[in-house]
Amino acid sequence: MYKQTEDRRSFLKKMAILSAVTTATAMFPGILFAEEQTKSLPAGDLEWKKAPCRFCGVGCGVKVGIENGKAVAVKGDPNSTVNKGLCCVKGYHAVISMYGKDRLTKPLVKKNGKYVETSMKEALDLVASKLKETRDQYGKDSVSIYGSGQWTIPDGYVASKLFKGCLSTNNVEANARLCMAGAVTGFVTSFGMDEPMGCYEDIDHADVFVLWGNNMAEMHPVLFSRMLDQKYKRNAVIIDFATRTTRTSVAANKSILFQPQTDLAVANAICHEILRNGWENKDFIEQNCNLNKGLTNIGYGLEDKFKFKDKPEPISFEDYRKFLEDYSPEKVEKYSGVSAKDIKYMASLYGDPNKKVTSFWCMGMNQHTRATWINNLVYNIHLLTGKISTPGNSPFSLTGQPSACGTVREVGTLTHKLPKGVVMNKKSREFAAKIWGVPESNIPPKPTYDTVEMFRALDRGDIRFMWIQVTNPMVSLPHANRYTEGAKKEGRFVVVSDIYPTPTTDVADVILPSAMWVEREGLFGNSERRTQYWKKMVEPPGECMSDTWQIIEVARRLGFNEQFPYKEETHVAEIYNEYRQFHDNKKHNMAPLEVLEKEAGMQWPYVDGKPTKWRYNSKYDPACTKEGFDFYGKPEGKAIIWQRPYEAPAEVPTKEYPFWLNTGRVLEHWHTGSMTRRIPVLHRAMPHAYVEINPVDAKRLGITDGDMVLLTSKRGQLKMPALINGRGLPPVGQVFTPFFDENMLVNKLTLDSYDPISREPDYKKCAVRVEKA
Amino acid sequence: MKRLFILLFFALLIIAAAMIVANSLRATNEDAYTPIIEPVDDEYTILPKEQGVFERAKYATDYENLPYDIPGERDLSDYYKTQAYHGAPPYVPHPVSDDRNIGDGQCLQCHQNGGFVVIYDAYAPVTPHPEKVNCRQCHVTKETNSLFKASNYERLEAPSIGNKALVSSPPVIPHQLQLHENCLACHAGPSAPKEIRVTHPERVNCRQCHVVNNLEVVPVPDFTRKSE
Amino acid sequence: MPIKSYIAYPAEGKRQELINTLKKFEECEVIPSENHDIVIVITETNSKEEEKVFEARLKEVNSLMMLSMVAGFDTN
Repeated sequence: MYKQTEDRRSFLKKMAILSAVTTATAMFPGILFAEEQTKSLPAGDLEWKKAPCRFCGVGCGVKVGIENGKAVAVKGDPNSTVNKGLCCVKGYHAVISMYGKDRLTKPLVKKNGKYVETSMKEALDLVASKLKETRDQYGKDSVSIYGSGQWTIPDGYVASKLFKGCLSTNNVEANARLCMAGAVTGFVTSFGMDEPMGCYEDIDHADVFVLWGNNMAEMHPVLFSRMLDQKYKRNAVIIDFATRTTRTSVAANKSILFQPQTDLAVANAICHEILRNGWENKDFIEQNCNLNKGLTNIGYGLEDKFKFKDKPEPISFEDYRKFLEDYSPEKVEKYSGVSAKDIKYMASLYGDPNKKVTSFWCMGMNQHTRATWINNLVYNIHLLTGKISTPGNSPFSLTGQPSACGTVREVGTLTHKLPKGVVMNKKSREFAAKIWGVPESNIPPKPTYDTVEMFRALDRGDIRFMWIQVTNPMVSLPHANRYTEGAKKEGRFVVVSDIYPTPTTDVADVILPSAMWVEREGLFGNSERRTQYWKKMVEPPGECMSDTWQIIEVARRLGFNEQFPYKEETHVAEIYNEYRQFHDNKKHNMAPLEVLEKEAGMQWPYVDGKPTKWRYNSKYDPACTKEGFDFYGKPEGKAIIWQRPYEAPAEVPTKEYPFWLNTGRVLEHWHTGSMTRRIPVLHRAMPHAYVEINPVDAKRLGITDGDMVLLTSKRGQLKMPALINGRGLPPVGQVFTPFFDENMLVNKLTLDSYDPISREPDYKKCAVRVEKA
Repeated sequence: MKRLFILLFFALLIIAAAMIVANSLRATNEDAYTPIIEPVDDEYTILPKEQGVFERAKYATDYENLPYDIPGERDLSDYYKTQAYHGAPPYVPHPVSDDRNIGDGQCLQCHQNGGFVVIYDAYAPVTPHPEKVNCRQCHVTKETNSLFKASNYERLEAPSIGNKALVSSPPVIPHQLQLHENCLACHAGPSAPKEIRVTHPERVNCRQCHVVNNLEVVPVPDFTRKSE
Repeated sequence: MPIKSYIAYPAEGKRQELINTLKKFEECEVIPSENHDIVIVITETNSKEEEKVFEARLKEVNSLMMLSMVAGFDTN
């Protein structure tokens, strides 16, 4: 009966809308309504529900079409300001990723080398008892959890609460360490607070876009399309500054190639040129910046138990000017491969007071043995010219995972982090302990292992129990051989929660089937500080359970009922409301769930019912305490200009290994491809990995397109087909290969060197030999 | 004594001059360098498949604003009629004026950018590869409707339209990209067959959403894990 | 349960403000036009009395210049 009235009501409502739209169309021919565009689709009986896209960090709003309890279609949400109704090919086919034939639907337990199906109850019992047993036998820091930026906010929150708050270990890490850590330390060292000051709306205002090692046409296609729009409609200029020629280069106004690692020198050269011409914004620097230098020759983190701590020291502007003397465009030209003319051209774009400049970057700068430095250096350019925190002027670090910001960076699922503040800080510990309902002494004051070190510890046996959720480290870790072997060692207990079998589930002792994306309720946070909420839309298959609920179940089995009192029906709301208390201040307030339910996402800081689009600028940011700019993360409200030199990468080509190996992604596949490869359209478009070789090198080595090529590094060998003049073109002496293909696992070759400050590995530079197989 | 001073003064001047010259020489030597990066052969710095997508992008906003000319529309069957099989070069369905010409400017005057041709009462299709100027190497005229002998050749039929995985998803590209890299040439403007005319030419970055389904020479089976 | 639809004209330059204000009312749904100033408003109330009160509240919104009703239904 109720349903009937409900139907009648919604029918009448539709009628009311329809008549209003018809009237409006009669009055203003050509008028368009977002909702109408939505309705013009061949919907049948589809019911469209909103969610953020499952894949990258852009955070497109999508609408998922549901029919008979199955997700059958996706379209861009025209109400979302992120993508304005457009998706990329991955987003459009996202729902298919839930229906792969080999979906894990039952828990599997390894018995005598074979996986045996069991019930969820038994599997969780086993996980809890093994965790307890390991902890009792080997100590608090012998158990760990490893997640990713694909964790929803509640997933990450309960993981941190259980491990840091209840189990008293800081062994909480996430894939974001391999992806965003350099951006985080870049922000924190320059501004004292994580995450971008600007937002995607900068694209609509900027006159110039500089892409720092960022193939946006393939990796952030929706934002790239928004940029192209501006190129054709407003004559905005796109500069692609990269190490190889890609789809982005051909669409850009200008493509500038540099030699790996020399972006450090070029960024300094741009600053040199800005100062030489007097293009710096003196008032801005005077009022809003301090200058620092840090340690140099900081190493590469290749050794086990590597330690490093930077020592910032104030310097004067004259010191800085003097430091830059080594970076004249003419000097930098010699080793960067970028002509002095091109460096001067880039400097002139940044230096022109009448041009608004937005810089974009992602893995090129973050997966870099000097990730923190290069982030600092790009901020320097924006700070010297005062082009920051105003519409169109934005140094913008993009993300690759849907909630790298929302979960890993904001909830803080990294060894040193708490939802607010860091474990080293007593006040932060007290604050967290109070909200979590645990004694302050529970939270250890010392960070333990970063991601690479965590897997090294598992290999060494310092860690004995690891729970891996929603990521695929045996494909995504650099030097993956060592860590795969390490995880398989006797006396290690590895639990993997995932939706499909992967090389990571292959090393698991227990495999827990997870509910993914719209099979459960959740929240993601994208790169522009936008939090997005979605409801459960379809039932997960078999015994699949959300990662949040898996952790809660285990926590209760460990006796933490009091800390995990949530009800199954309302747990996401309860957890989110609890979590919001951490950020209850003008600098980070998050929108309440009621608002997120209605809107296609909302940006934080959300103050007085309004999102903040540009932080640190009193015109837009209510947290500012002084007129103009206030970089309130740092003392005196002043951002830091860092003196950071060029330093060579950890491994360079030699006679034996004469090629640079660069790795990355492709448009069609997301991360390790465990979802996108199960989407037939995407798999057919990109069935396997390949190695891009410059035609000059190929000719010399007698390799033609499609030939099998043997790549050898100090760490391993791999055969893959050559791609010559395909979608990317590396310069002579360099090769590129995508990392998604578990059957051609390029991370067996990559080097596990990392940036000592952020501890993020460099996947973009190592040396290989290339031969025809 | 005075003379000595004068001599000394000149000597000093000469030394100073020599030092300045030497210094500046050293300085110029410092700036003189040979780039250690070998220049890459320009011929290889293009990416034909990728570049093509954006080739006509500068007209995208014009395409968007063009009104539809319904009576002058071409449909897909008209287009396929000019091909021996799906992917074959279309024949020239109209008389050509100069038979001694390779095509070149003569074809391009209508087929580079298209436009309405009164005598045929139709819009000239735009070529996706205007840089290949020997048009008549592949595109031949049709001088007769009769056959020399009948043929048993079975024509490879073009896929039907609407190659999408889901009701809402963007159709895939069901044809090879070679010589067809430029999407807007055939999929936008008044000469585009109406069934495959894109509703959103202004979006330019076509392959963000539309991926190729037959890049490989053999059909691609679904993804399977390589078991070890 | 009365359901009504309106076409609303914002005061000059106050389109976004109007949309935001209207969205805050629980009783109504807002469909802004993508390429024009006007906004479609659908109201849904529990009774005729409530409907009247709400309509009066709507008309008090500052950023609203004009509100014209298009259709009205009652579910009872």
